Amino acid sequence: MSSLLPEFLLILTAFFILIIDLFDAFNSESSLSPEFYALSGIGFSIISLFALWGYAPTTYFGGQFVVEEIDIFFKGAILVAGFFTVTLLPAIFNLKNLVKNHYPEFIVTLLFTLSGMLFLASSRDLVTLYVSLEMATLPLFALTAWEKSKFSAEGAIKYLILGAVGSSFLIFGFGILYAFTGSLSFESIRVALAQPHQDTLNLVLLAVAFIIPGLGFKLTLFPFHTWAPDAYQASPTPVTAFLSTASKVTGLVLATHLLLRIFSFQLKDLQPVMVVLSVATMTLGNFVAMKQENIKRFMAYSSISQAGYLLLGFLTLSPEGIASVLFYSYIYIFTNMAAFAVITLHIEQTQKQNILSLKGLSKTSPGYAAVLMLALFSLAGIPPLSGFVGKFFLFSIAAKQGYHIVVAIAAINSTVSLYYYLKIIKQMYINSPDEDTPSLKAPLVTKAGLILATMGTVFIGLIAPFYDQILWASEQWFKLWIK
Amino acid sequence: MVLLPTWMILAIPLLSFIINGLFVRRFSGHLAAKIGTIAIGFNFLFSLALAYYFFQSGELSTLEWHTEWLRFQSNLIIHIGVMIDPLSAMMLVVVNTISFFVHIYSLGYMHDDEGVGRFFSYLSLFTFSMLGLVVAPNLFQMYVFWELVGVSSFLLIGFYYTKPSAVSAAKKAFIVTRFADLGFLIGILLLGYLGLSVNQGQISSVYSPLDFLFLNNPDVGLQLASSGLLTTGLLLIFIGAAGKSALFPLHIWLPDAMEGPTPVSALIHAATMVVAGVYLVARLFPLFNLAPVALEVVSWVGLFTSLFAAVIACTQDDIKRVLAFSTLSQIGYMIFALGVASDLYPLGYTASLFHLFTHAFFKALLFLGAGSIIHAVHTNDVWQMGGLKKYMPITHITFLVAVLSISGIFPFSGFFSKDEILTAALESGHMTHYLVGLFVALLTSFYMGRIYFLTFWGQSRSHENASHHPHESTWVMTLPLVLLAILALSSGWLPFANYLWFAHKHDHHSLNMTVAFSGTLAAIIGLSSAWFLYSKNNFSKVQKIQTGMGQAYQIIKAKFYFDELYLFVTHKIVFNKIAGPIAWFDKKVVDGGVDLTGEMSQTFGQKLTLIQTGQVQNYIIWFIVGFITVLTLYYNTVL
Repeated sequence: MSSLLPEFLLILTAFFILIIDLFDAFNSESSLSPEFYALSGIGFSIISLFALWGYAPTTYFGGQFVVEEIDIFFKGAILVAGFFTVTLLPAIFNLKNLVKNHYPEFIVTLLFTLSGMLFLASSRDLVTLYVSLEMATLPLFALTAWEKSKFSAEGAIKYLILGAVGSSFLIFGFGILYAFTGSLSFESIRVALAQPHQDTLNLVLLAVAFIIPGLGFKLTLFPFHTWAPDAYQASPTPVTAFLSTASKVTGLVLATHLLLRIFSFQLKDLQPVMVVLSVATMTLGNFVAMKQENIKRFMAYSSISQAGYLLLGFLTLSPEGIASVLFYSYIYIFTNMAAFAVITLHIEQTQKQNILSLKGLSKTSPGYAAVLMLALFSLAGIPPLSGFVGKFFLFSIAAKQGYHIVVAIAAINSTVSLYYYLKIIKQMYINSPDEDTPSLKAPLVTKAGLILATMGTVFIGLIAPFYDQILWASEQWFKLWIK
Repeated sequence: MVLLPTWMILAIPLLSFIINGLFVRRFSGHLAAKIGTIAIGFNFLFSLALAYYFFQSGELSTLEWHTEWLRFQSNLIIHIGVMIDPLSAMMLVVVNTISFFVHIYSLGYMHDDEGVGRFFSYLSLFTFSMLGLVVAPNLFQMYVFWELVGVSSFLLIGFYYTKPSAVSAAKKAFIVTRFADLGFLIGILLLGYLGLSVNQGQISSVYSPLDFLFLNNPDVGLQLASSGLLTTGLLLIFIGAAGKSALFPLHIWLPDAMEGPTPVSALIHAATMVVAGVYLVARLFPLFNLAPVALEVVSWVGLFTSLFAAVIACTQDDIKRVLAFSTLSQIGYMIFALGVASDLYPLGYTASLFHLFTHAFFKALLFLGAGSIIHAVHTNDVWQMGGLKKYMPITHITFLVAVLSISGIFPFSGFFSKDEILTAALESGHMTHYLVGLFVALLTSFYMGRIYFLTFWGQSRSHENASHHPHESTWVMTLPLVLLAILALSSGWLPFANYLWFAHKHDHHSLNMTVAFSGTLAAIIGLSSAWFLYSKNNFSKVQKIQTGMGQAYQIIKAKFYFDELYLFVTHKIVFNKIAGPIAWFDKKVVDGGVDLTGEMSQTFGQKLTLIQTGQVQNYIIWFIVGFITVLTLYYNTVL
């Protein structure tokens, strides 16, 4: 059962924290704080995950739970995002009064959604997929509403309603697929879809058309993205970070399942749809981000545009495609987490969410300003930072498929994004700060996470063996599964 | 040859530049000076050993080390590397020797200057660039380093950047040479393009079209020549060479370049960088040989430059400017020597490079001597010097050696190389070249005699306090003078033709008595008339000649108004008629277009924000719109 260990460790940690909390032990002087348990839990989970390397692929429950090499990388990305999110928590929770602000429960909820995401990555049939997707999404609604203010409740309710709509689209599509093929397993559905009869073709079409919006919801593709800016803004900042990273990777896992594992024969015909969605998403994200004044909303649109870029990796069924998606996911997680670490500290300590409030950050907190600048440059894709390398691989997938115009549009979009990222950098570096603006302070854990994320931002794209491993894993998966 | 890691010859000065430029000069300029000097000293020994081993081995050319840099196509690959052949081995020795001596000299000359660290960093950069140019195995690498020497020359001319004249001189040098390099670049592209279509089996598969070993291959050359574009390509390349070597009409930057510190003038603007054009033509000589028209142009440009500059040099008052025009004239000499060479009469090729070799030593010596004088009397004007023989004995003797050498007096080195050039012109049947060359030799000895007598003889005409006597420079400055004087004396005796030849090795040629005699006579006439006019403190005869020449003298003294002509062309025609309208277009149309794009993007973004109404109902409508779009789009693709 060792293949299930990563998930088990997360759940175990969650219950362990719940039990400690039950006995009110976090308030005692001698107790370690909850993030310590969470970080060790996630850390052990990552170790046990990569310990599976070499044993993959393994199959459980009659093919309902499978761990392949690329699943290990997907799960790894999700866990890394979870890990960084936990490092942000001490910055916003008052450690003096843990029980009152439900810090332990927060972490437990976070661990539950993480384990749901991991299950999702290993699922190989529609029911497991759906259940683990809900298991991953439902706790997120609660996390979004954690501040319990009117504003955060509004964002969470919108998220919940649209989540329900998205799920219903998805389940509708699943229903049609089941009705059509009589099977729940990805592989048998895929095979059945290989040569649909002329009279059932419309049914397949409908299934695809229902499933794409559900996927679009999770990945924040235009026009299914509308929940994102509101939910991002309403959430506590670490949750925003989590939504924009772990949740986005979950969307990519979902896209891998749906587009590559189920609709692999439909993929060629889906290309126009995906190109339109991708171009619309990156364009909307970038152009609207330009006009944003709230940092979190701004990051929401920035992450929407990144989803547009990421979709390019799914245009074709090739090891390079999935490898570039995975590679970019890691880069994106490190980069975004570095940015969010600074943003979290800033919002928490100044209680201001306005972009203008970042002015003069380079004078008051030069180190943090430098980190944010690096992260934003990486997001904009400036060489030699990792973001450039990642984008390069993604764009080259589209170029190889002959979508040169799409690549051109994506490149123009990157230029537009540089404009608004530079707007923030200008605030930090050119404008002078208000008088008596205090410099940012970070708890040790947050600082360590921030340094780690910054190093990733700078170096991950340059570590060739890392990409080679991912590519190798993708090729393994490809050989095994696409015969 | 495998014994020596030849890439080190580039690595050492580069390393010295990086270490000094980035770190050391910040806290100690003098330490940077010492590091730079030691590094180049090492390079100096290294290049001597390299040349020794190379000429011992008797190989014709070796590609010592190279690595792939850019791969454009499978048959168009650019390498960077080190190529050693007789030509580059000779140049390595010249560059490193002069550079090393100039480094030592500068330890004294720049000692009290604030920017000493910066100065030595730039010197290292220059040496690195020049060596990279010399050892380049292909035109592309040569072009890269060609530009790098341009940059370091720019930095060093403008070294005293608080002086407006230095800044504008630096700009002028850079722009003029850069402008010429445009021709060079187009020439490279043209040759590369032609080279791609050449198919010579074995050679084509080993080398890239821009490799010298490819271009200089006889079979390849013939095929290139048959394309009919070879002459054009070579003339374009020659424009680049003319820019760097300050040949007429691109000579205008060199006299102004004397704004740089004097050691720089000695190193860059006399001995090494300015002869890069000669080097380039010599490097591609097998191709030039196949394009007689191009060679004809080369010879006439060289000849005219040498005469033109020698005439101007006779009228200048600034000692460094006289030397600058003298450099122009001598480079013209080398160029026309190349121009009269061919595979039938290859002597000009050897003579030209021989003159490059000897000229490097005595011209560097002249400049360093001038620097020593300027250091002592604080002026550049020869009319304010005089009588320095007494106060500066070492400078005096060494300067005299250089003067005799450049004038072509036996047994000084200039005699041999100049003699060889004139012989080459005579033997290949270029009578005009021979006679004009002889006349230039006369002028050369005249103007060199003029500054020599004005500086060292007669009485002091200094405006400074009479009690303040100029005194000899310190040993770090006089030591290079003495060493260079020894080289200026002896380098002519080298059996140069045994090492460097074109087409076929000729025996160390015996003196052509006609040439030797007429050349020496010209030198003696020049020197003695200079002695007659300038050795005493009575200049009434000079005055008389000047007034006698009237307007002509003024025109020559104003350097034939070439600077004014260029200013007129650039300011009145280029700036007003061409640059003005382009600037308008740029401001209104290009910038306006950019601004418009920006504003449109902003408006577009603003409009798009309207999607985000905050109403869940609207969001769900978007959801359904999206669903319908996907359905329609997909439906249309499938059916």
